[in-house]
Amino acid sequence: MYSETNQTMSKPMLTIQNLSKSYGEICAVRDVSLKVSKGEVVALCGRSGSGKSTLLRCINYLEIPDRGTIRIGPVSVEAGPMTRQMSQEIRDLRLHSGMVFQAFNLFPHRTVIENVTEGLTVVKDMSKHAAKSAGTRLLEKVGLADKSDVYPNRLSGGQQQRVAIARALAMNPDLLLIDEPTSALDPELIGEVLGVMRNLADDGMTMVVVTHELGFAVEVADRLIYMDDGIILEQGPPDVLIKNPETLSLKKFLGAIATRSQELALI
Amino acid sequence: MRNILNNFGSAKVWVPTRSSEFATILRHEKLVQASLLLGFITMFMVLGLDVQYMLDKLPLLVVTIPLVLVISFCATVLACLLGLIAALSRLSNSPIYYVPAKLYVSLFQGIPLIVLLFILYFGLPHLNPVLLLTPIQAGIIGLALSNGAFLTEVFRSSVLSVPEGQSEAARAIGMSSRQRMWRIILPQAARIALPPTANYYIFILKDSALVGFIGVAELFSTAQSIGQRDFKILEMLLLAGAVYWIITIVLSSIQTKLEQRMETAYSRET
Repeated sequence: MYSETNQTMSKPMLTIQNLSKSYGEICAVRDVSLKVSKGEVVALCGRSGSGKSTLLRCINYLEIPDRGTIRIGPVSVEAGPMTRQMSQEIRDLRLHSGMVFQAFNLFPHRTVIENVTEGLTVVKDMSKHAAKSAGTRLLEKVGLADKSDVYPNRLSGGQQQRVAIARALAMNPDLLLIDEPTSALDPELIGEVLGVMRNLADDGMTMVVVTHELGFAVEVADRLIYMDDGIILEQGPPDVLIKNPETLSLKKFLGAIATRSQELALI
Repeated sequence: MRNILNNFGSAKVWVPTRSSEFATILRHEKLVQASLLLGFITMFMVLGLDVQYMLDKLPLLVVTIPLVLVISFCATVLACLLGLIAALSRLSNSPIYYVPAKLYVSLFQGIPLIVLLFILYFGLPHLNPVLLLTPIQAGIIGLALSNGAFLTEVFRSSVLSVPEGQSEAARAIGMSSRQRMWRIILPQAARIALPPTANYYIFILKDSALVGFIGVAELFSTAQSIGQRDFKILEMLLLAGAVYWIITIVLSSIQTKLEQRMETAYSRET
């Protein structure tokens, strides 16, 4: 029993093999392969247009990759023509992964608790009562139990993003995909969202996070991946990568971010 | 492609607002309405119209209002149903669905309502006597078919104007396309579609005057026959116009209230 758990620990939770995605002439992701082990937190950074968001969205097939294989836990999907069987596989893939969006994308016509329980009652056929108690537990986890019956437009951006995280967690995913979670937030609201993500990392949640918050990456992520022009240019422990960038591209990128934060510090 | 669709969608949304703009003017300028009414009455008297006769005959027109309301209400409900089915079919990826829907929209947007009504009432029985409809049935079906074609476009653009992120969020939690449409997209699209749909009720109500031509004794045809009998044609036509106008004012004020309630719907706390 013990050895079996040990084996699953070492087995990658997410495996991406030779993934490519292009939009017409533009190649957004070029032949990327990546393994993420259980409990690992990976931060993805790069310039806009570097393919980091596309890569993330390909993982749960919100973007349909042209080539490559994606495996999350027990589910594996290989890119190919969209058949009935394929779309069932994609739904399976999505059930094993949760997604948090830059723009939150909460359902405006559902209350906070309904947002969290929607997937449980509709997709997992859970009873309303059971879903509600599960949802309430998750809202407590993100510190919003008191907002349960409020509509999303009454919440601040930070609160909305925390509800979105609770909604993704409700499906009990093996892997959480988080796309620039703080980019749409006012500076003073960033901390609360990063705090929730830090707690998740401490609980052992496997996460792939597209982010520009390098401080968060250093503190929470096990690995930082720098993407440029659709490929993984550099990767490694965040502090090492930030201190000793090998490529000129990453040096320039870090320089640009440093200048920006210095400017902010001056203000 | 998504962008083109979205732009197309948002461009289409305002198409039916021509009457809502009109309605806004009506709404905010009660004073203008009152002075217009006074102006009309003065004009009637100056023109030598028999105002007393008009007031006497008013009840005869008022009794037809329920019929007008019922015909246009039934037609609107049926048109919404047709519009919803056709809109969902048009949004489908399968040509089996979107080709017939497109054909329906193009055909019934293209045929003038009066021609359609004549086909339904006078034409169809020639094909088969079973198809003989009562004038009211033919009227409701004609109004519904023709306005359903326009509502199809309203509903389709409403669905397209729900942000893409909503569908993505629903997909990310594993919802099937049917679940996404009925639980996430349509409730939000309905909110967007409500004001223009309410406008269509007003359009349909006014178009219901055409049903008089296939023998329904509704407001307009009643006014016309009384006017011809008494040689007071202008009086009765003006009176009919005034009654339609007042119904429209009442309906658009109800519409405003409905819109205000919808606007506050998501923001209410608990």
